[in-house]
Amino acid sequence: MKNDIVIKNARIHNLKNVDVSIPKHKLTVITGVSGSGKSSLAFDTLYEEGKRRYLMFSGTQFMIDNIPTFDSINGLSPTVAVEQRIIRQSNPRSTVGTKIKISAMLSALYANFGERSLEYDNGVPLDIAMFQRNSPRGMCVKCLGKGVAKCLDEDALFADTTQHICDIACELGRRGQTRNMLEELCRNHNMNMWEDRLCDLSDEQIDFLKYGDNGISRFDGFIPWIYMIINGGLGSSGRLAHLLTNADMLQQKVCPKCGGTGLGEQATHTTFGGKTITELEHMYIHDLLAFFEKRSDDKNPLLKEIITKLSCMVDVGLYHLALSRPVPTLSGGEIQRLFLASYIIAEMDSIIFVFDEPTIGLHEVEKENLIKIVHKLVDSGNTVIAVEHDENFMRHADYIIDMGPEAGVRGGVKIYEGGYDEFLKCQTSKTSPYLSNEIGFKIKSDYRPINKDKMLVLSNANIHNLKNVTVHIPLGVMVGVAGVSGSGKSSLISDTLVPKLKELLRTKCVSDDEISETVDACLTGIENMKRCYIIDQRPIGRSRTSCPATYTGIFDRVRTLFAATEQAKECGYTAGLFSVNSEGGCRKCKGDGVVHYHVGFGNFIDVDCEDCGGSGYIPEAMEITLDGKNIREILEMSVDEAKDFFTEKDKVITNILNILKRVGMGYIKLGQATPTISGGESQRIKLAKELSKGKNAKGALYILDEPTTGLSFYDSEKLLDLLNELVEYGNSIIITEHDPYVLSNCDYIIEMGEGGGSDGGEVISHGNPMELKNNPKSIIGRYLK
Amino acid sequence: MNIDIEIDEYIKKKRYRQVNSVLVSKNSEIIAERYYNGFNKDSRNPIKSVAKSIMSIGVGIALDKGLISSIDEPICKYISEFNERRDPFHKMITIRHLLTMTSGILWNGGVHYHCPMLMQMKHSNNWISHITDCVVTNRPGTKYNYKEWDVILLAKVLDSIGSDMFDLINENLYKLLGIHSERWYKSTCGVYYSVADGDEDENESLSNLTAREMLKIGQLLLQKGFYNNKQIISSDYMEQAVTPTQSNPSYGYLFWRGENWYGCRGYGGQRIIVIPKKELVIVTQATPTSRGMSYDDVIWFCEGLV
Repeated sequence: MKNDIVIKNARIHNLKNVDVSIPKHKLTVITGVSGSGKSSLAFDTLYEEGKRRYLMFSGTQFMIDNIPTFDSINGLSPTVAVEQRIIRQSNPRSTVGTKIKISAMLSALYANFGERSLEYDNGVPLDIAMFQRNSPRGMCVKCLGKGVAKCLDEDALFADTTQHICDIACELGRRGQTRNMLEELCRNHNMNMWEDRLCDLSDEQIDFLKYGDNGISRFDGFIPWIYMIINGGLGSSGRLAHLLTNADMLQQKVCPKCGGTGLGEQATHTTFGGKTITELEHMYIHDLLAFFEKRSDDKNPLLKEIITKLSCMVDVGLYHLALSRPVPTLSGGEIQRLFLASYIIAEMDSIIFVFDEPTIGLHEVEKENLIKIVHKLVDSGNTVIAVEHDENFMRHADYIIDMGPEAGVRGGVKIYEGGYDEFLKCQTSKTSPYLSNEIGFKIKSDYRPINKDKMLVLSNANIHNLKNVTVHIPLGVMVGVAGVSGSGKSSLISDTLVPKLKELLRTKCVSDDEISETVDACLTGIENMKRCYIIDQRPIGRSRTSCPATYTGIFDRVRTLFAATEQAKECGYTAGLFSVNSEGGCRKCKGDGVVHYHVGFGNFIDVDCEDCGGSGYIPEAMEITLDGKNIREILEMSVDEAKDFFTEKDKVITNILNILKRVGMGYIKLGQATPTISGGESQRIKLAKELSKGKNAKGALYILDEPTTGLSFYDSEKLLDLLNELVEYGNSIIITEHDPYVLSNCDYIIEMGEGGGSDGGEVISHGNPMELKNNPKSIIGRYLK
Repeated sequence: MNIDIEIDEYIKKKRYRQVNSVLVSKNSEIIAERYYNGFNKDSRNPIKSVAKSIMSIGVGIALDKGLISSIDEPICKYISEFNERRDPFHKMITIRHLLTMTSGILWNGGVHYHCPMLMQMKHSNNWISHITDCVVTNRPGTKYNYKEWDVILLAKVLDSIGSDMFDLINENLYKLLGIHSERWYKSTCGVYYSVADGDEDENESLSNLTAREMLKIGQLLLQKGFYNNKQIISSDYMEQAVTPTQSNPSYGYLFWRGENWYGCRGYGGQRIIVIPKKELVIVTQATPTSRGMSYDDVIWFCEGLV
């Protein structure tokens, strides 16, 4: 058996004929600045080839003739990628519990061992499906198992009695289908939709407008008609829902029938150990484990199995999650560890695992745990290759590969391979100087003063594990929120502060999330800020074809530039031809450029679309060039390349690209598909988008969640500079963060703890980084730089 | 060859072991009457969804008696839960929508029409309230979706207009036709629902009929409500009830119809099929199994014999 995996002449993407040899049964870290080619080497070369060979060998896959991206790879065994990016998904029904199949086991437990409340016990045996929200037997019939319902605020729609009939519901009646039908209704009941104001109408007439006239006129009334539109009855446009939400006339609320459980009555009235299945699914995994361990006996194999799975979740550091947590709300790191847990349960050896920054989202204490688990994998005969920036993780690696020297076309070269100690001495690497403290990460020592009159005060926060928390959040500075996973950082910020801000600031609070929930807490001090931007790690854009260019608005301008070329004008082409979502999209792959084939076990293989050759465009669109580049070639450019290309052509585009570069996204391709963009990258792109809109905005609050995720030291430093600049302009920043370097550069830190779940939920320390270092109660203090 | 023997041989050849009765009547006279598995003219068999069509006749009776003024009346007039605006579409739902399976209320029939959603309702304490909680996914009157909700609601309507739904049907239809039926099953929350899904045989068997009783209903259909020299139901309604509707050309008011036939169909092979041009009525009965066999070919085989 060979002892090394030897790759010769790898040249995919920006890789420049890379030769490496990776020792088997060891932990190898591939590091380097963002965009230097780490992922190209680990995932696009090693993993792709490992997967291909294994699938070919097992006979489940046909041969795909691709242009080889390397000369040879020897020593491969079956390869498993534990990526953050491919498994990012947005099926809202997928939860932690369903993903690792514990939910199905819980359903079986309840169906067989549940205690039913007398009132609902009708003697008919229970059924597993009755505890599953995705089954028609179990789901709530009102919300279809979603637990939330769209609620139209009838009073708000008709509150303004001075408005004309045609202006009701954001001018819904002024156009199209609604206009004709509404005119008919008005005619039948002596109203004039253009001239009559609501205050001129009788109660009966208002009622006709709201609920129709029982079929005399074609118009159903505004309330049914709007529900019909927003529930997709006329197609999938979300415009009206968006307008009404912004106008505060439409809210997503907890379903009134099932109280958010998504289940029917039987399930909500059956208990195990005094708890309903919903209550168990909302418990933190480590509390849940304790709950089951207390009730375990040798007779119940189901319980034993559940306990094994839960213990594994705790081992990989996911004890702070609840089974009900939707998978799309997990951070990339959490998703990765979720999959890691399922691999550990499987107990395989001789597998090559490829990880993508496994330490993301982990507190320093938890990182040590993870490193132990990864070592366990290696000790049991596996090979682990991780793309990683974390200092601690690298120190524990057996072998280091450094890519560089810079990003994109200026990267793709192997700078170093070998042991960690030698690596510190490496002169050409951009990473090693930070590790050897030769350069050292810039650490702030002058903290901005705290203005006691400009504070957000959040009090009586009790959601999840928070224990009636009161916090003072200074404005006009950079505030870090720290704490181990599950200590209540997210409960405090995303689940209490953010909903509260949304409630109070309404449309002045910009966020991707449309669900508005009311939380019981008190927030004062918002008069000190003008706007609020919530910049999370959710994927950018909603469609398959969205990418950084479309999301930031660059693409609309690029298309206009294309349509304005002489060539395009001659042919009569409009901007629509240059969009794959419009006329320009290839008919076969619908603009994807690739066709998916399912190869079993949840794996897909993508093959270039034959019709468009992988471009996603019809040939007409590809023929038009702008300064020698066609639309596809533009989308293939990295932000850095595009910046040079557009400098003389379009100021707005150049401005946005500059900001993208400054947030560390210089390496990303304009047309990079959303599913391949990590959570950290999404967040930085969103930040860039908001910054490009109004750089001189003052008095805004930015709420970020681990913004340096996935960035090398070098790029993190640049991002921090930018954030500091924002604060200098008079804005405020709140960052939820684990990274000791970033925290050390905050002006003020609020630390939650001390443990996770029920052991957390309190503020254990606050103050500037220096104060925390000297505070014995602080856990993060001793890791600060 | 003798028509009886041909039918017997066909059933045998096809190995239809669950078929219990086959009756063929032409010009009001029985020309074939075959029983299997120990069945005879007095044996009773589940009628399943044939009950839906019988309820449709009940609506005709209610119209004749002026208990309802029109099938376009909104059901919220009779079912108070639909007045609570739990769903904005509730007030738009009419008796016609129930008759044509177009109430728009969410329904998932499941594989082989096993009705997974029915189980949740049966577990609930108030069936009508449970259905009222179901989201309306289509504007009432627009989309045909065969479902149990609509007949359950119709039963509630028919039970609210006079004294009792079964009495209405029994006094004004069954007795006049000489049909003897037990009082249909009524849930503890007070809803007539005869078409149980098989696991409650005792409750369901109350509505069982003999093949000859089924044939009488077929004859009434063929004669547009006229029976024993008497117009029992107005011919207008009987005609409308088997006329195709806009939302489904194969469906009338809880009656099925095809190119040259109309009639009643119940799960597992319960059929009353009328072929008016030939003055034919064909009835089949079978023991319903989870496979949901239809035995429609038996009907068309019989038609071919005449």
